[in-house]
Amino acid sequence: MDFAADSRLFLADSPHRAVVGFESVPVLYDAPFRQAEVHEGQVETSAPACTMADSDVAALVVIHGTRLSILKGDALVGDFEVIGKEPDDMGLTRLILTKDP
Amino acid sequence: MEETVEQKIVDALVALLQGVDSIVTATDGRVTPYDVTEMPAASVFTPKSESENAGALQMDHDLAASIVLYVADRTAQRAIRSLTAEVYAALGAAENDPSGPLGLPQVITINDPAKAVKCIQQGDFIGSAQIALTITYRTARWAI
Repeated sequence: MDFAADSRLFLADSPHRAVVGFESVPVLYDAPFRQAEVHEGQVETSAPACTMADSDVAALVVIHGTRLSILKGDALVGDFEVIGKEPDDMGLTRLILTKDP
Repeated sequence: MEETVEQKIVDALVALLQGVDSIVTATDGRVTPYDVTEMPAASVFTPKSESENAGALQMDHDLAASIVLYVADRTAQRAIRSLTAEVYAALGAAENDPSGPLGLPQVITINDPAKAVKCIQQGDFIGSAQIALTITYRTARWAI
C-alpha cells in the first residue's frame, strides 16, 4: 500500500462519516476533553475535530462556517460547524469543529 | 470556625448571584471546573484586601471582590453582556438595601466596578466576564 500516494487509505476503515448537505464522506473523528482556564476559574469543554481527504474538502466546498453532521454507522454523533482548517499537505485536512446546537 | 464580615459579604454576593434569573450555579470561590450543564455560572473570589485604621478601635477594609461569570452559548459575547447587565442591576438594588449595602450594616460602599471579558471557542463557545468591585466595610481592629 502506498499511503503517500493515496491518503484515503487512512480513512478506509473509519466508522465515522461526515454529512455535508446531501453528501457523505468518510472521516476520522475525535473529541478529546479540554479544560480551559478563564479568569480565576475553569470550565470543561471538548475539542471536536475530524480528518477528511483534501479531495472531499474541495468537492464539498468545506470552508469556515460550513455545517456538517458526524455519523457513526447510522447513529448521529452530533451537528457541528467548521471553525478551522488544518491541511497536512499530504492529502488530508483536519477540520476543527464546534457544536452547532 | 469564626464568622467574619468578609465571609458574610461573600455569602451575600453568592446569594445575590443565585437570585439572578439567568444564573444556574453560584458559588464561593470555586476552582473546580464548571461543565456546560452548570452554566450560566458565577463564582465569587476575594483576591486582595487593604485595611486602615478608623479611629482607635476600628478598621476600614477595602475588599477586592471578583465575580466571574461563565456562559456556554452560540452568542457568548451577547449573552455575557446581558448577564453582566443583570448582575449590575442586582448590585444596584443591593447597594440600596435599607439594612446596608448587601444587607450588611458593616458594609459602607460598593465601588469601582470594572469588567473584563474573555471568550473561547472549542467544542463549546464559552463567554466569561470578570466583574471587579471594591467593597468597603468596617470592623473592630484586627477583625476581617
